[in-house]
Amino acid sequence: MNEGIAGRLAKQFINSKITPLLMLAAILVGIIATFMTPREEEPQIVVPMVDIYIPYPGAVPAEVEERVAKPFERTLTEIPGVDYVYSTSMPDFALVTVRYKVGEDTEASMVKLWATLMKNMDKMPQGIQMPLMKKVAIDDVPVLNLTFWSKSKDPYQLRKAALDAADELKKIPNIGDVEIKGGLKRQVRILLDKEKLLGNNVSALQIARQVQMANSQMTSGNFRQQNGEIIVKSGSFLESAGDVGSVVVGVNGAAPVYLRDVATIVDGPEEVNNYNFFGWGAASNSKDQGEYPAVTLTVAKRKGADASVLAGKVIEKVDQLKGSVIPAGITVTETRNYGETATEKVSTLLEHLFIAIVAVTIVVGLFLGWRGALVNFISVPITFALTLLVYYLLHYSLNRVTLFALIFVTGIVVDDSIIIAENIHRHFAMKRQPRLQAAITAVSEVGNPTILATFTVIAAVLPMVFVSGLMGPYMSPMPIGASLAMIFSLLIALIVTPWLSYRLLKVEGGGHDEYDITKTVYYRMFRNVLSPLFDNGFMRLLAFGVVGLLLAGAIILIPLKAVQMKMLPFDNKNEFQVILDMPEGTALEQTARVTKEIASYLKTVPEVKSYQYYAGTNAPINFNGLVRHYYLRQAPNMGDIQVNLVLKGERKDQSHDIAKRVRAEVQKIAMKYNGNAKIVEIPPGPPVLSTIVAEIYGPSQEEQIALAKQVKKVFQETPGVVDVDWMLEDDQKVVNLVINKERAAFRGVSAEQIAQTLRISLSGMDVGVLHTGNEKEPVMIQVRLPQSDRTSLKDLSGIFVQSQGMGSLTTRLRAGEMIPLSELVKIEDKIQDKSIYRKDLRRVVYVTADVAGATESPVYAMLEMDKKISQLKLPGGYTVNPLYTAPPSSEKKPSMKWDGEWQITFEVFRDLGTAFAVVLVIIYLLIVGWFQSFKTPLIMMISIPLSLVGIIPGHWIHGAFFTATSMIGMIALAGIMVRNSVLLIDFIQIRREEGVELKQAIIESAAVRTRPIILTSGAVVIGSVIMLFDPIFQGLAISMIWGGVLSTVLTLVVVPLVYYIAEKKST
Amino acid sequence: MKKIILILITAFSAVLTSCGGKEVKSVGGTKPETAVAVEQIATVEKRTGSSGTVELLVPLESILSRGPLSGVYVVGSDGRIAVRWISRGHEDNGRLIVLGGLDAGERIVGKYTTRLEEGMVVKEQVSETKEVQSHE
Repeated sequence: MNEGIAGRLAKQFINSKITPLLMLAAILVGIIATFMTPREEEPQIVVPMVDIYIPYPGAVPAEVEERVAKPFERTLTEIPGVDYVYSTSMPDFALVTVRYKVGEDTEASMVKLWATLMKNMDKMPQGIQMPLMKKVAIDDVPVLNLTFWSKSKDPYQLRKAALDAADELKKIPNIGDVEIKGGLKRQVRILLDKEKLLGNNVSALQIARQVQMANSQMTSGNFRQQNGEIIVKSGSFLESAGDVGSVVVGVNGAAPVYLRDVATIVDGPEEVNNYNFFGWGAASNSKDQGEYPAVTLTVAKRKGADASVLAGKVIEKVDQLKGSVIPAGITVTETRNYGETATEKVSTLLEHLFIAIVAVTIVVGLFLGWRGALVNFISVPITFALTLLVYYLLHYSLNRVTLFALIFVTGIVVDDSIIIAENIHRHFAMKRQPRLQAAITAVSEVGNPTILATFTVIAAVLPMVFVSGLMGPYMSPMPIGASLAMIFSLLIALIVTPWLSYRLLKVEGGGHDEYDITKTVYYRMFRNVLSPLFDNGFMRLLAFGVVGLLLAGAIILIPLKAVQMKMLPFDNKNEFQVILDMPEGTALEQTARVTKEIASYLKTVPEVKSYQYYAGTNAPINFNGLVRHYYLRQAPNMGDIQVNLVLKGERKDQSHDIAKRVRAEVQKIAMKYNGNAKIVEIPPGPPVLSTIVAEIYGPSQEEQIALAKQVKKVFQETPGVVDVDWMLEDDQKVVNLVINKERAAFRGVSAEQIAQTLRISLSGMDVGVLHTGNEKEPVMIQVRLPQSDRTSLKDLSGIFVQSQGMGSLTTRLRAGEMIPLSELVKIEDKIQDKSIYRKDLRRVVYVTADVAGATESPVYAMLEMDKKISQLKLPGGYTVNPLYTAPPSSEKKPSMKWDGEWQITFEVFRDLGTAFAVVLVIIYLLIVGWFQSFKTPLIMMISIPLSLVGIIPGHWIHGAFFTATSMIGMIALAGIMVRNSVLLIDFIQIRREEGVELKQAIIESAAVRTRPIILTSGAVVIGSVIMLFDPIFQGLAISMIWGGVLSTVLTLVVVPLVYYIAEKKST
Repeated sequence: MKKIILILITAFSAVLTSCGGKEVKSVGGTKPETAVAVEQIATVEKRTGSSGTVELLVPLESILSRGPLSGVYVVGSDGRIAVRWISRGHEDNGRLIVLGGLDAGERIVGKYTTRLEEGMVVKEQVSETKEVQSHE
């Protein structure tokens, strides 16, 4: 027999001393690589995203859009590699977000962006200020949150402690951004006293200027004298509140007016601008019902660093700081630790991996005895060790995707070894040759088809690398890891397995009778099943009919919605967030009150361990918040609640079920106060703006809003659609103070003076920094009216501006006269202009929603709403047909496009579908190349659709969604099933070449090949069982298990039958 | 050999069908608590201010201060108290104008004492002679 590559390799290594050394070395490097590779939960995703803030003070949204947003967008879309450009035009400034294609180099993108911006700065209108560019990356998401809370300290003291701690933590290597959320900063507040100002003839503006001028110090130069130089300095910085109070702000008569004469100077916490609290939930052991002022310190990691190592170091450091930097009375509680969850995830997966290997080994053991099992048990870890080494070398991290790739291939990588070991075992049992010779013959016999079969499986998974968009980084480690593992497993099957088998495999019972295929159970079974089908045409038709019916029955489950499609199911996490939006114009205390009320409900939920609420400032962002710009949620009408659940093991319900359960009550509380609350879970896959997004385009904002209102109503009426919201501010009352220009000119007051005075009085003005040595944060000096003096328009009447007299060039009156502001302005009420959103150069209004309850998959909710939306009666008599894949070509009439998770789902299934088609072609080509026949490959590929008979009903039985991972399973299974057919038909052809008659050859080879086919399929099935318990990879497991079982059984009958029909005619 | 396969298949399908069910856990009830007596339960008053704007007033004594934060204990319908943070306006004759955080007519603890804690159940002390019961 021709030895082929396989036989020659086996011959080379079967008795070589180098083989055991290679095995040992491989395992050692694998173990080292496992510890060296950084661990994290999510795969590394490079999506360069840049936020550009462009202030344009005074401009209304429409002007901001026309002058700033539009021109910027146009130039930014010219940059190669830019995927999307979004913009928001708000009063006074524009926010433009540029999102590059996934995988674009971040630094290069930033440089290109900067160059483009600078090139176009000359076209910008006068009055815009320098744009601020901020890169947003996955590593900005904090991996560790430490909440500082206390029963006795206030937010000001807490922030100081957190700042001091942050300063120390920064010294830890590999630490990224350290931020403090909440608390109150130190500030020197100059609280103006209106009466005293008037009495002393001093204006607010004057104070601001005087303080600014007083707070200066300069090196003037030096004196040269007697061969020496003496440095001359002048002025002095304001170093304390006392210094600030002693600033002379004016002269009243002959006496100087000190600042302390006309204002109260307070050195201490700034005015309250956020309410952050911490409390224990029902699941904590604490009976403590209270809630305590809190400040959260967030720690991000540097790119490529190991989250768990960093988190460990930070916690250790914090423990050291307790008692010194962190004063007694402040408790530090870990409220997020992605390092821990990553370690937990990785170790669970490694454990699963081990279980899968053991399970597979047991299956092999049942068929081949413990010696055969041992051969496999040794060869699998070597395969994985080498794969882990390659992961390390390719700079992959150990995350749930890369590890999952290993579990996924566990069942497949054993196959090569099984096939080789099984055949060696068979040849040993036949005892036709001496052992060494038998082993080499056995390897030669199945070696070449095994190589081909391995490559068909690789051909099946590898095209998944080409999944584009945000899902790409989630998917690509899988085909790469799986392919690598397959190649290693092939090499090991050809090099190590013969070596091990030769030494370990023994035939029990010592050679009694000659091995005879016709005496085996399998042979009798196949003869009984196949013979009637070969001989009887009607029976054959009946068999095909039954298989056809099964297939049709399986497929029909999808239109019947018995099996629903969804991109990815929810993962079981230990946290979720509540996002509360009160109507614009709600006072901070009111928002805090509603937030607290929701939090008080949440803490009674039995699974809640602790919660933190943040009113007026955002909660530490998670992966979702990054894309949704939650870090900009810093307004008085916004509140976030971070809810931490007990660990997965300690609760029955998954986080998604808990979120579903609390939603109604949370929203009821928010509704009571006209607020809108959303439950935000951590997405299992790439984050999107919202699960369901309707983008509404149209010729004018009014028409867009009109359509958006109707669409929003449809959303609200559809069962299963929850968290409906839109990106449109409520009407907010604005008191517009219109300056009476004539009168102002006559009194010698400029418009700028009025505007500045108002700004100082109401929102305050930072007039400098206090120059103290030992503060971690700059201490601002702020001039403002006290809070109790700025409650209504009445308070404005007491504010005065000083006439500039002749200096203003408009009047001849005396300078210095105090003129009440109320005399110079008149009041107009109006509605605040709404922000304008744009996406890819088109104006858009977003309506967003999530799905939970009645429908869990956005696609079905969308289809349902689609019907209602296309029936909408709109003014002007047109109808709207929602678009799915591309934005409208014209904006002449209102139109709508679906976005959100759908966009990613569409891209993924499109790319996976294309990948599948490519897979089929490649498999076909491979087999044509091997068998030199156009027909045989088609017979082999029959088993691919047969897998659906198992896959779809399998999902139905488990009540699971058909997800992207199910699809991956299906594709991989195609490779495995074709491989089984290859092994089967290859053997038939060998037998026929030896002169065996067709029917006999088919039955014989079916009998001979059944054992390895059942063994390999069994390994795939058993190896996948452990994945059933992972919410995300459940779909894949179901595909592999049910698809594997049913298509194996059907393949063993249908493929020989079809082969018989096809070959019968040709002979 | 055939037997082994059969056992495997049956055991396996049993495992398969057993994973996937869900159960809903019910929320536990609350235990009765003894009420803590407080001197007075006041109501948030509403009045029309000098310039025609509506002002809300609470007694100055009811205010609890936590550094820069000010709040009052609001008494819920079940008698349970919870801190409500407020924004302070002017003081007026022993009372404080509240700018945000409260609604008119809400019941609050009239006089703040340090022994009050979030989540306690309170009741108004009827007569002076009654001793203040210690909680727990």
